[in-house]
Amino acid sequence: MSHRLTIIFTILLTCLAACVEPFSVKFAAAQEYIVVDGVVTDLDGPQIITLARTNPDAKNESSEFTQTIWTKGQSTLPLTSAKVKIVVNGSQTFDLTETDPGIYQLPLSFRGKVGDAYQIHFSTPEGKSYESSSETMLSVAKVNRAYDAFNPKGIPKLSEFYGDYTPSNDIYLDFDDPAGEKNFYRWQWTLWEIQKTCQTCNQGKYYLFDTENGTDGDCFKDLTLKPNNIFDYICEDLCWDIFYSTDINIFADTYTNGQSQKDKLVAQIPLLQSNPCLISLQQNSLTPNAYRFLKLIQDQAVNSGTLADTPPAPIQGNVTNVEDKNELVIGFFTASSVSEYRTMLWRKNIKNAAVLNQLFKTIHNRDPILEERSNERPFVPLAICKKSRARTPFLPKDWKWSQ
Amino acid sequence: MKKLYFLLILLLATLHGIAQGLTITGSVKDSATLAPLPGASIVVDYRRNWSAAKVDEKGNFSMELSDEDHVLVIRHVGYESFRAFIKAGTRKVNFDILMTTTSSQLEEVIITSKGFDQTIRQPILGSLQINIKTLEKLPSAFGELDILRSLQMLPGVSSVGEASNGVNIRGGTTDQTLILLDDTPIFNPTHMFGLFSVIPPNTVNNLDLYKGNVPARFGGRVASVLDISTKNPNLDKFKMAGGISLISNRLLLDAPIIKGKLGIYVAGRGAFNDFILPKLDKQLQNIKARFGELSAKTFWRINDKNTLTWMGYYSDDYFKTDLLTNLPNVVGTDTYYKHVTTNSMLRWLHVISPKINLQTTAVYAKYSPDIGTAEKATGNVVKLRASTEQRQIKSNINYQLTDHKFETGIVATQYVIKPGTLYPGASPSVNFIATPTEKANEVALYVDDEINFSKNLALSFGLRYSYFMSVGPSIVRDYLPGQPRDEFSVTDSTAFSRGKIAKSYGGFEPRLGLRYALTDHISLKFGYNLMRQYIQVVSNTATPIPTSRWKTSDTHIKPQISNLFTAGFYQSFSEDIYEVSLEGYYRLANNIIDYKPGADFLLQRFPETQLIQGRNKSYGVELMVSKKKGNTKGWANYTYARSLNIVDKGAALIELVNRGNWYPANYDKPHSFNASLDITVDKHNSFGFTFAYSTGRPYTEPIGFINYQNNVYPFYDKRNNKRIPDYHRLDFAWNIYNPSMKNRRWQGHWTFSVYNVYARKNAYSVFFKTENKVTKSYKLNIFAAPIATIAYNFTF
Repeated sequence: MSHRLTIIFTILLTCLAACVEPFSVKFAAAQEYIVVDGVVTDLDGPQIITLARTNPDAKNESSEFTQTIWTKGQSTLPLTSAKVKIVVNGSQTFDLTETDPGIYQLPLSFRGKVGDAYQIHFSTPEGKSYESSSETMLSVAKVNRAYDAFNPKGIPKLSEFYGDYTPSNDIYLDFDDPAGEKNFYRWQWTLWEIQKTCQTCNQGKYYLFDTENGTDGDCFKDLTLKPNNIFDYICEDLCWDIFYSTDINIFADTYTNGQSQKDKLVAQIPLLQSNPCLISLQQNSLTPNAYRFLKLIQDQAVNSGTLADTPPAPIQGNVTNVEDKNELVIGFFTASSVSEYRTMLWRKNIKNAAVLNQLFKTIHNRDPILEERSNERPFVPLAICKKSRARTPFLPKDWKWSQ
Repeated sequence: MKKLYFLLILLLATLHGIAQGLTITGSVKDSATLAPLPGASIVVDYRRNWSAAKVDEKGNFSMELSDEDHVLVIRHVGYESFRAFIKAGTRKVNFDILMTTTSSQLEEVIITSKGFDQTIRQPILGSLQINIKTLEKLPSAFGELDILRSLQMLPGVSSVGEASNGVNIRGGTTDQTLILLDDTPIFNPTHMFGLFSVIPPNTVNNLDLYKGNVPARFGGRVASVLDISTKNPNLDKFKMAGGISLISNRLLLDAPIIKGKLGIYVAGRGAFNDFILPKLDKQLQNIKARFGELSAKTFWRINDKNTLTWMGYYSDDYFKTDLLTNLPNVVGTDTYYKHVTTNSMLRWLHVISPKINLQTTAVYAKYSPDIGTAEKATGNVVKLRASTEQRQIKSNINYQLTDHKFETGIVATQYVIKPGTLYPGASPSVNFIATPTEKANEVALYVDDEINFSKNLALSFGLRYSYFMSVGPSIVRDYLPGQPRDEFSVTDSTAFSRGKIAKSYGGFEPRLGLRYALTDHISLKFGYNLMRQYIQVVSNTATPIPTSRWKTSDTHIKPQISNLFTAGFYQSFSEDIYEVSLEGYYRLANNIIDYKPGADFLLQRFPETQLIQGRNKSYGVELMVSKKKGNTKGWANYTYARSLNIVDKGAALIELVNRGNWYPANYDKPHSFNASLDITVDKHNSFGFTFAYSTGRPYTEPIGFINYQNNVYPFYDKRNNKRIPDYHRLDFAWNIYNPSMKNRRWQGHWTFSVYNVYARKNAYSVFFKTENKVTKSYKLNIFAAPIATIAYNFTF
């Protein structure tokens, strides 16, 4: 149970100095664990499953001055060359291909369906076999209405205990919980922000060049520049940076079954610049076990620091070693139906808390440093907006230029 | 050499007295029975205690003193002290004193068990009688005398930290200690999430803590009993007492209604000073934190043979903030917590003969916590309300001979627990949900017998038989044997109709104490206790929160049973001024409650699916040295204690805490050292110091991080694998009594205290929090700065 209120109360009532302080720790895992992260959805697009192993050589350390725990070495390493398949309703099998190390992709045509049961099977190169429990994709209610409210103290910047905030547009929504069934929800969001600066070169300059697939560009080292020299390059055309939610926002209808829910806070969109932006709200269905799993992570990692915390414990997911049920496998494989709600956020309510086209500055904490025109480079190139998970040059679906 | 000098002064003083001539004579008798009170001590000019004398067998005394101003104080255990001022020039004075037992004045000793040397003499061990007057002189946080906090200065009493909701005694959980306020059970002993205890100090007469041998008249908890009795009303004259501190305001009005027959007092304490909060910090603007208590007691002496006592107690806590939504899975904006305790007790004492009396007591106790959350658009409040109720009737006969004390009784108890009802109010979004009421009955018969076989050997023998019945209406599920209890292993369910017994448990609870005195000043004691507990808190937090659920034993949740073995060595020195005690114990408790990962008890119809039961073993050695008399009094103690749990059945191995191996309990603190010192300078000034040290309690540290769902989270392996930094703290108090130095009826008393003098930033907990894709490690300090307070108390 969360009691952040009590802490805040206690802090302020009893010690006017800082009551929550950094604490130095040092720890490492003695052994390696497998980590599974996979959700099959009914959305279009490539669906991926991530497999990793924790790294027993990683050392984690924080000091009394920085509360952040730094990890020396990678916390997790990709689990490569696994044989991964997904079995639908115990019969149909889809093999996954490894697109990047540890990232396994379902066939592009694959799309989950409500009511179908999904199960993952994989075997490591060492020959150990793992499988998940069978997860049935449950239906999800649609979003009836969403609205936003400006919150000047939205997201804690450094840490919630230091009272420094990034303002946010808080998104609330209404939905009707279906009667007669247990429903578990999770909300995620995606944000598209216009980006004006597309490339940063450290001790180098940006050059365009032709390839088989057309023009491309990249930074090239220039040793005549100082090692700490930075040049930023403006985008040649429209470009959007894409941001994804990181927090766990879940809900169970235990107390509200069959009722319409109003004013549920589902997202806090950080105010990075004053430009209108596009948001996609995803209302996901969860299986009861996936809900329980996410709730545990939330209790242990997010809702901690209260006067009465639940002591953390290893969280067993739904993936087990076929031969050894007692091996701890971290993570969860599940299926989720998604109800998407896209809307433009015009940001007319932000009370001048942000500036136009400020995204680069907000993120990097400095203005772009443009390469000046020079005799050897009379024409400084504009940077290409390269499509990736975090950026797109293509007009996002449902983007509007005016209200 | 020093002694000789002393004698010389004594001799000179005596001679001096004879020469000038002041003769004091008199008698000391019990005001009710007119029985002489031999052994009452007479202290002349308190500071010059060499002129102390005693009252003889017939209750008479006489003494010769010098011709000066004298202050005469006559004291006897359990009676209100008599004080007189004799002016210089008086030649002869006679006092026939009738002492009343109705007040709280005990001897000015720190901890005693009825008489200076009773620790050595009485056959039961591990019992402490605590004088509230002593606690009042000790430093306290915010000038607020806190009984639970003060108890932690004693060996074997600890807690998870400042915000702990109760105390852990000899390795027991907080709910394994039975806290009785005039025989009524206290289910939630603290205000403000553990910061203050609910026991109103100005009404307390006596505190008995039984952490070793527990007499058979007590039952229902497996670790210990804290028996608090409140004062009786004054039957002779009107009295008023009160006080003010940073946190609360207190007032007690004590009035005889029929002189010598009927009296009543009403006492209240209130903390409504939360208007200060916004002045301390702007962020506190929307916080409201209030608590209040009201207690009343009447005493009616019907005639020489019958008395009737009634006690009522009410406590109310309210705590509100809009900083977060707190009732999980209800869409709301701000949340409040509220909890109310309503206790009442009626006792009829019938004296059959001077040696036999019959006492019949009826007890009612109710604890009801609420969580409420307001909906954003309408402000409608959605409430989750729970309650735990206990009704009890008991009757006992006491029989007292010179070397033999006997008590027998019968107790019938009813428990009614409403685990939670969700009231949607006008909400269109929330359903009305009620979890079924739990009902249970318990009957117990007991015998306590204390026999002094000889000067050297005494035995206390107790036997209790308790029988517990979980009764309908209820629905009891059947689960596949040998499998974890969950939704998948349910095979069938049985409905029990109203009043029908669904499951019963019972058994004997022997209590044995043996004392063997090697000399007048040295004794050895042994004890064995078996106790059964049928009602407990189910909670998955480090310390229970006010809204934690109480649960009776049922078909699936077996009663907790504990076996305690104790042995002790006691020695007193220098005419009982000093005392040394060494006690060791080993306790094994079966069927302790633990929870499965992710357990949720709110509105849970079948809590057995969330719980697993295991065992606890606790053991320790407690060494205590105390100085019990004189102007400088105090004690110091060192304790080595461990408390370990194991849960090795009832769930898949992977779900068991630490894979079914022993692990330290949340409050396991191996080493602790406490010291307390009370220095009386003169009639108007005293200083108190306390020092506490203990090993840090365990916490759980992650072993690494994983990337999961677009974020980085820590992952954990073993529970309680590290310890927070050691705890230590020094407190100071300066008490100023009657600063005007005039002998008026209105007596003021100032206390200046500093809690945590050297500003040790003691950690309450260490925790890990994931924010913006990085995990940070923090420690939470409570009372991390020195807290200086001035409190004012008065009596009239």
